[in-house]
Amino acid sequence: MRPPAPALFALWTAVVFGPAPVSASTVISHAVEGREDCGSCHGPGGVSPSPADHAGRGNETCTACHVPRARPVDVSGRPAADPCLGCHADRDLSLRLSSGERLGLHVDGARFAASIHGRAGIGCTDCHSAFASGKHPAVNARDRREYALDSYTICRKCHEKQYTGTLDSVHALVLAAGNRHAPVCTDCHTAHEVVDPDLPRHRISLACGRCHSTIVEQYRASVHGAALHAESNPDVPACTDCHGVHDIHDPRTARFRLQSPELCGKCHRNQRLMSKYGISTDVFDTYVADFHGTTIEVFQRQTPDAPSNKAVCYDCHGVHDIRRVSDPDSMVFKENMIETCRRCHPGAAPEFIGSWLGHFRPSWDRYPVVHFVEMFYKLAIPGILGGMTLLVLLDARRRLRDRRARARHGGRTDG
Amino acid sequence: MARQREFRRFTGGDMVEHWLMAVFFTVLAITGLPQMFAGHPVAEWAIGFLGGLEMVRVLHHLFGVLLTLLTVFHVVRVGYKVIVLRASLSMLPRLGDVREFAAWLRWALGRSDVRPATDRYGFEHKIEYWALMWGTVLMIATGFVLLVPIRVTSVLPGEIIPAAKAAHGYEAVLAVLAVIIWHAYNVHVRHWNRSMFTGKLTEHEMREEHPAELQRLQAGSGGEEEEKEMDRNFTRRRKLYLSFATVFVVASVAGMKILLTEETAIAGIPRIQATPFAPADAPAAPSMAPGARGPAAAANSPSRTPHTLEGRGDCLMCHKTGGVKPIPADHAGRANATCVGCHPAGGS
Repeated sequence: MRPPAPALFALWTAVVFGPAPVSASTVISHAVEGREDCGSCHGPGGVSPSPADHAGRGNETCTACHVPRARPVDVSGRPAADPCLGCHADRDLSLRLSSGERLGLHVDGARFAASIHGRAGIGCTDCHSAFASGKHPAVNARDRREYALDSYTICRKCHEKQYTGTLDSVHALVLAAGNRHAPVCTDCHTAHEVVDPDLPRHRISLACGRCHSTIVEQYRASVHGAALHAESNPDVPACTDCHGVHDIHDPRTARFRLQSPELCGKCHRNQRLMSKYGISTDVFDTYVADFHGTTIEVFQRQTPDAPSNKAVCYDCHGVHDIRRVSDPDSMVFKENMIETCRRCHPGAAPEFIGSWLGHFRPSWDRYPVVHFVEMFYKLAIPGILGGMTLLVLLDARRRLRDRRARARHGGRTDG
Repeated sequence: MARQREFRRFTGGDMVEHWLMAVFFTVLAITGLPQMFAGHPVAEWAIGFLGGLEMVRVLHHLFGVLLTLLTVFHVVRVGYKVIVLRASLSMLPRLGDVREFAAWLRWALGRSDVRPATDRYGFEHKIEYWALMWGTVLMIATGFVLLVPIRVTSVLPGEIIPAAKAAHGYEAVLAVLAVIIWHAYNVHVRHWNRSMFTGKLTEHEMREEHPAELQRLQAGSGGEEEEKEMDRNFTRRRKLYLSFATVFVVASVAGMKILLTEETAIAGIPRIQATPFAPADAPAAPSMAPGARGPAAAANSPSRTPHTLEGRGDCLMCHKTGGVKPIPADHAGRANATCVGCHPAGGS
């Protein structure tokens, strides 16, 4: 006996493509109740006829492959009604790629149902739209990474803004340069278990830490990272607060360096925020008033891509390992400061640190010599210039009077 | 109209000194003040116009050095005039200046109709000269402190540096505004004085500006004749002075050169220790669906058909409920046609 045509087709695909591609079938877009006679609409010449290769199939077989669309997937974790999970719930389901790597095809239905997409009622084929036609398209990726790199643009369909944002990012540049490790959407967000990336907020640094583990380790020991991870402090910056979210720029550029004080200033100039922690908001202005800060700010405004080696906040306070200034491990703790200065000023004597005003405004208590000079000139400049102006005006007045007097009498007597 | 008799006020050397000073002072002000007021739009425009902050700093340092050399030259030249040529110390302040100022004040306030007769240098000239001298020395001193902070703080307290920075900036503001108010009024506004261009003043100008000097010159007690009197010690004095001056100039230039060789900061950017890419878990390539992927609970995996389909097209013959190898209960009602959709045929 000759097997039916669809079975032959399946046999052929099985031989050609190897074990995996299981044909997925379209989901019935309506409820089945009261419409059990599929053939009345989907028969030959019906309203919505079934494909030619379905000829001869009776009503009883339709729902074996075509199930009614599952709507809001069950959050409780019971096997989702989505027909794809009929196969993809299998933990071992996988596809051998030409590199020999196996591409896992398992999707955890419960986790997907709990994900932001599952809860929104988004189904498999909303993203995997190529599978909606009823057949699994051939997988051309040679390895798992290639499959991920081929697939992530799916996200763009709904998340155009975020996708476009990533195009300017250092990650996209690195990817374009051929580094396949560069992260795409699914590397940070996962593919099927996407949740709010910042609930709780330290999830952000954990996500970045998957690739940037040593940096996140440093960060977690810093005053910011410790507060985020230990206390869930909402005020401290997570990775994305300084580096951006999708358009993450290369922090090693001159541009980033020049902008970095403004970045720190975003919080450290905020009176309301800083008063909670007893931190002075003078830090930014006193920095800009100093040689380093003046230079960096002028560069930033005039030549934002020109390199400048004048110190920025993180040169002295640390990049990811920023500590309290009272922390003996801080780079700017009094005993450590000369070493920090010497990173740029190698020959500096210990007295050199006295030349930095430590973000203080000079007063009689702190830096009295500087304060004296300032006070002296604040009196001397108006005093001397005022005196000169007075003398000039007196001289001019007298000369003008004399001239007028001469003009009046000029006709009669020659002065 | 008959040409007026003219009197020499400045020599060529005086004029060269003056105009060099004017150029250096102006360049230093233009390159210095925008640094002090960086952040102000006009200052930033000037910095941009001059080629950027680093260029402005290079120019400022260059002209600072030139001004220092000019000052050394001035000191040597004045010393030569005073010590070798025995010129009178006409610029030195003396008690008469106070009397002259008091008399001027009475005149200016209308208490008297006699303006004091100014000699070669009146109180207004002395104020300007000594203000400039004091200011230049202070600017040079604080300027070098700022240029070589490492050397300075190896012998002096660190606070010297920001104090010098404050003094350098404020003194600059004072100097520029003082020149605008005092110098501009006295030689440009109240009377346009050409003597720094021509080196000369007319008799009329002399009567107006320097009546006492004019009187002295006309009386023939100006000293020109006296100075020409043979001085037996002149040659010896000059030789001695020039050797001292040479030592002074060489020492100044050498000192400046030593100061200028300080390497204040490294040329590049301080290195930051960071390993950008350090994946937390090998393998580096993130998985498609991170999360639990435990080993193989094959519960839901459709098994492959373990036999070929040759001659076995009617699946249900064996796999029907109650057959040799029955299908699971949830497969009830599925026909032969659908079987291989999920259960591909196995090996031959």
